[in-house]
Amino acid sequence: MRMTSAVIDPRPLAGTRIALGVTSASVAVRSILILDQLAAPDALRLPLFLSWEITPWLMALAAAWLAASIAYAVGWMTRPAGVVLLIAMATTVALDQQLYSNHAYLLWLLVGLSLLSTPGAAWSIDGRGRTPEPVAAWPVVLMCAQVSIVYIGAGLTKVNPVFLSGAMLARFIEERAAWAVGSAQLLSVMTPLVEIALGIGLWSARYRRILIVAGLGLHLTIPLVMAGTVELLEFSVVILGTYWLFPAAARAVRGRSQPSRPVDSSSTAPA
Amino acid sequence: MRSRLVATFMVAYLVIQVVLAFAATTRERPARFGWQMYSYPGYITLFSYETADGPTEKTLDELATHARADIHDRLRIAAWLCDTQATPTVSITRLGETETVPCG
Repeated sequence: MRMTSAVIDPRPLAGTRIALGVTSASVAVRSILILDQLAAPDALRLPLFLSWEITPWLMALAAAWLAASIAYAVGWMTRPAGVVLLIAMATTVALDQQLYSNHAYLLWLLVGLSLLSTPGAAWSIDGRGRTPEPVAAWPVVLMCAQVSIVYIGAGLTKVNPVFLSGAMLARFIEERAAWAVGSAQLLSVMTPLVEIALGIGLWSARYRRILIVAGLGLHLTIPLVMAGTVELLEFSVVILGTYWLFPAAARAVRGRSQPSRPVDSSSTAPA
Repeated sequence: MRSRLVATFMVAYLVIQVVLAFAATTRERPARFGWQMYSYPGYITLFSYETADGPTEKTLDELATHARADIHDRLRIAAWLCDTQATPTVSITRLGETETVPCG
């Protein structure tokens, strides 16, 4: 079957939708708190694309982002909720560089790509009482490719003398994880290796299991030892929430996706 | 036809993402739309200016509501200090080099 017309089980994408929705809600709450502070007359403003004053209307837009994130996570009016999420998030983040992060950018891209498939087909209020139909595979392939680009890009840019010396990680390691300072150089050598291996190896059935363990170790260790726990945790949830897409994406790329038949509804759960 | 459109979209998306990621590596790190998280030191930039209490020196962390390593907009921060602190100049020190921005 050609990749552009291939279909996959809707449940992995539903799992990713829940992870993305929950993370988006968390980012929205943090952004609302930052927006509130940026609305002060003497606050430092660094517009990203939009030089607008922060008005109650814009605060309402950020609140709409939060509401849409929750609706997207539970799969209620999933596609409209996803579109509102994308528009409200883009507008809010464009107001100030202090609201932007590459984690939020990745989240935005993944939600956008998910909407090109049918993220609300399973484990959703929309799909309750219905037999979930298989969903388009190609957006899922792009989501996985995007995660690979992030991993490989992040890994390659860490191959520099300053990072490999351990100085960078040592600087960001929190006091509560002082035990990790002594291992900073080892961690600094391991991190790009694991990231590049994840970017490539998650596509391989042979290496996927061991790499998932390595990825879990990487993404659970980072928020524990480094400063900025909430943001790093959000990033970890976004990335880890795509891991279960890789088997289906890899099968679709190899032309071995599932036939287009409904999924056994007895094995699905409501959101 | 639909299949061809999907294939074109997929190729275009991947090309844009790969080009953006590579282009970011030639810009000040961490660059926006790149994936250089924690890959290189976020050099500390100091903003020096005069207040009624005398010379003051602050980092971006102390000035911003939510400081981020990818905020490289130093001149805009200097302009904000000019507006809010009524200082005649703002000096920006980064990587051992100091640039003085006159206000007004």
